[in-house]
Amino acid sequence: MKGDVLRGHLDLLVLQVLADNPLHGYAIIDELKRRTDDALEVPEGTLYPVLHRLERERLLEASWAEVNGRRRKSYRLTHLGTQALAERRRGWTDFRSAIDAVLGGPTAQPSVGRTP
Amino acid sequence: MIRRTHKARVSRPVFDAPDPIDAYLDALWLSLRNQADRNDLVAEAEDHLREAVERQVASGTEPSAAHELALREFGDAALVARALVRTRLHTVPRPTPATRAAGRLGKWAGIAWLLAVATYVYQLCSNPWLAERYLLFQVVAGMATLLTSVLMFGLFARAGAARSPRLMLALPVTLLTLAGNTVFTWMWSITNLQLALTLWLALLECRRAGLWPGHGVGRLSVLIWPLAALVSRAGSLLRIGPLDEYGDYPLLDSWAFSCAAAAFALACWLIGSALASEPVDEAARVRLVPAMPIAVADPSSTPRTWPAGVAADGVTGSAASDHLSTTGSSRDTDRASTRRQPDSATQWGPPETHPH
Repeated sequence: MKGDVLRGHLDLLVLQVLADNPLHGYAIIDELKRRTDDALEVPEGTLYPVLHRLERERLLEASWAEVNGRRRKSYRLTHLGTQALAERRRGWTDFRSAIDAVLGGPTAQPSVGRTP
Repeated sequence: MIRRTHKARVSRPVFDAPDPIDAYLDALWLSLRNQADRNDLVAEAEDHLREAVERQVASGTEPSAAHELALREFGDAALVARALVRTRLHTVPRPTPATRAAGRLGKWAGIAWLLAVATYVYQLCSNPWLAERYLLFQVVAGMATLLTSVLMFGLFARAGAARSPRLMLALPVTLLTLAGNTVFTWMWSITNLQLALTLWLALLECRRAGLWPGHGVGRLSVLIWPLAALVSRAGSLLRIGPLDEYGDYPLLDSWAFSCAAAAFALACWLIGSALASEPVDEAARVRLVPAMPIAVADPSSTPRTWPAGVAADGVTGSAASDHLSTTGSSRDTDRASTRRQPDSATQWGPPETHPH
């Protein structure tokens, strides 16, 4: 997926990943790769500014812990973040429906490398 | 391994092979100058890089290759620092009760500028000249400037420019304008150029935030006072109208001020109305609630469990960061030792439960 397309939806993806469990930055990237079967690879230089911005917007809450002798910062959704996630999911659903309508409905074409 | 300071890294001999991650983190730390929580940012980067290397090595990659891959994927230190800093310069642009209040006061600024025209003409009409009338004009002009300044800072806030360099420039300029228009009101053609400058800076921030892209009134309002100053100067240079006892030609000066103040009154009213009429974001209401202390981290190596009863809305790491931006962190050139001195207010200790 082209970087500029991903960038517009990264907030939604990060909020969704954190909806289940608090995670630190590396784990968020890992989880995104796992859930998308390696289709999405978010650069670290992109993710951390997003995390900090969402934290400043009070959509995420951060906390520090010591793991393996290092300080680790983990993020979790706030109540506001949960609301924002629901709102952005609705927005994505509407957007996807609109695009599908233009393209003539959801396509059944499998993506490269996947078995149908 | 010897302890290294940023200066010492260059001059002292290295007894161990330099750790590429340490070198990267040093570069990142230097690139994050003036950031109060840069130790936290560097600690987060270090955790990510070390974990990435550990996982690569665990999967069979050579340590040197693992280091190289991790650093390459993380990105150039200067670019990463710039991305982090850029997101901090601007807060989230959204309407708040404060910006709406600034808009309402901006409407009053419009009324005040009209009153300034009225009192200006009133004091001009006195013959002989009466100091009391001129004092009234000064007070009204000062009040109009004050209310306009509030409107402008409301624009900055609306654009999410709480930490922008333009706001840092606008603050002293506004104070000068306020002093000038109150004490040296007769120098309005100079002091109100500062007013135009501050308004221009505020509108630039609005444009950066994508607000009111077609707001012609705002763009035109920046030109009002510079044009009026030109007209006033032209009157003096071309000696238009009668000569007064001070050796000036005040006719065009009077007309220029009156017309400009009336036009500026309209602009303030329109901009203030637009600002005051925006619906307040629900998220902004929450932001007005006093922040609660951040939860204490569990220092054990097991994954942290979130303490029950922590109010998520008010408890953020950014609250701690904001607190530190006012208290500041010490200028510690030995980054290795600062890893043990967290910037955030989170203290090592057993988790605590905070009341809502």
